[in-house]
Amino acid sequence: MQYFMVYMTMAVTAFAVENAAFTRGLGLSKATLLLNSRWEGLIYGVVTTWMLVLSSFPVSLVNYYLLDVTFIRAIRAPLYLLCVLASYVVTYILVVRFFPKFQHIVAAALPISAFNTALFGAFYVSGTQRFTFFETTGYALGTGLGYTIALLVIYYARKRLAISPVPRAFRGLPILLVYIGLLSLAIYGLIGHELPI
Amino acid sequence: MKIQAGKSYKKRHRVISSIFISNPALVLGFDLPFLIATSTSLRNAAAMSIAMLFIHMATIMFSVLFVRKLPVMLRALLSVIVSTGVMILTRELIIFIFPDILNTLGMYIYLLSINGLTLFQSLSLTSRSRLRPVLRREFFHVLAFVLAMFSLSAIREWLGQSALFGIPIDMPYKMSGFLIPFLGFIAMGFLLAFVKAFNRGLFSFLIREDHKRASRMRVDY
Repeated sequence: MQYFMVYMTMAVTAFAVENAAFTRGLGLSKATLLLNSRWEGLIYGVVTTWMLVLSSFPVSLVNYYLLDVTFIRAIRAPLYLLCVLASYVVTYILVVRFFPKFQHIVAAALPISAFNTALFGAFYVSGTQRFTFFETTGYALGTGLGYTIALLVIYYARKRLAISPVPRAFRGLPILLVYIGLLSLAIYGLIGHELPI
Repeated sequence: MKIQAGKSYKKRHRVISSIFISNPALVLGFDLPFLIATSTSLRNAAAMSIAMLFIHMATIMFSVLFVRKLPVMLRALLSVIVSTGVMILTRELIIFIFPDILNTLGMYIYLLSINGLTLFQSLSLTSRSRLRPVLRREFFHVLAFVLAMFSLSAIREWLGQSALFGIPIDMPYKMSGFLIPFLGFIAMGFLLAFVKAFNRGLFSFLIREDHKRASRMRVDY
């Protein structure tokens, strides 16, 4: 029960309070800010969440065994990459084998979702903050869900802003970034302090 | 008519086009996390620019030479592997130049190995892509990123820390909120809007100049 509470606490923290997109600007790019439909955002979000959860198991092991290594910062990056690559290959094989109907959808979303600053950012936070196994996996789940919600919020915000009277120079990406900044300000007010980078 | 004029203009004025009209950071929206979170001082900007230059150019060179004919999924894997390797080496160089920079850059220096610009550009290469034109184009894209990074960092450090490159400036006030990511988003939005307005003016001016030159040539002939 205690481990479940730890897991859920970290998941909620990563989902709301330390939302990767709104508090650290992670995972935001042309592909994710300018989505064509809510289904595209949902697909990116779901695939990113899956990759986060699947990769969090080997990453938590890496973090555990690297706790006392002196040159940790130098080798953490390639080790995390190996974990994500393994998950990438496993996901591709699973989809081809068991869900061939969705192969073309996953194949389009997988490179962007797997090699995503939100995904790697969550793992670096778990490494520097020295999370345990349940904390790492809970944080990964919360980051994925929070990122998915952030994509959908940004998509609907863009729709609303497109029909609002916005000055010409601000139309499109500029006003969307200002909007995200205001959301980020609200979350910063909730936290009360700057998050570690 | 304007679309054709724009295409021919972009071909003739590659430098201005790459830096302003097709600026990957300020127009196309690449690498926003780095621009928003790490652009809090000019030292950070310099470190990130050096890292971006090495990581991006090395990965693109590798992609053009070895992997441009492979399927997209495999290309993404190999590009990220190469960029991670270059990032590890570049990190050592940056620590040598700026010894305590990792305290301010945090995890973002490591995240440069999966930056959107490098990944997107390496995935968009075709079998007909040639090394020199691609490297020239990508060098200007890096230059555009550097310009965006330094512009944003200068504003945020000046207003947020009353300093430039660590050198204190005598200012009547200091708004430390400029150093927090939420204001990075807002500052980025304003910078994008400024570049958008500037691009419109620049584009119209240069199209008009081209028309004038073309009409003068017709009269002379």
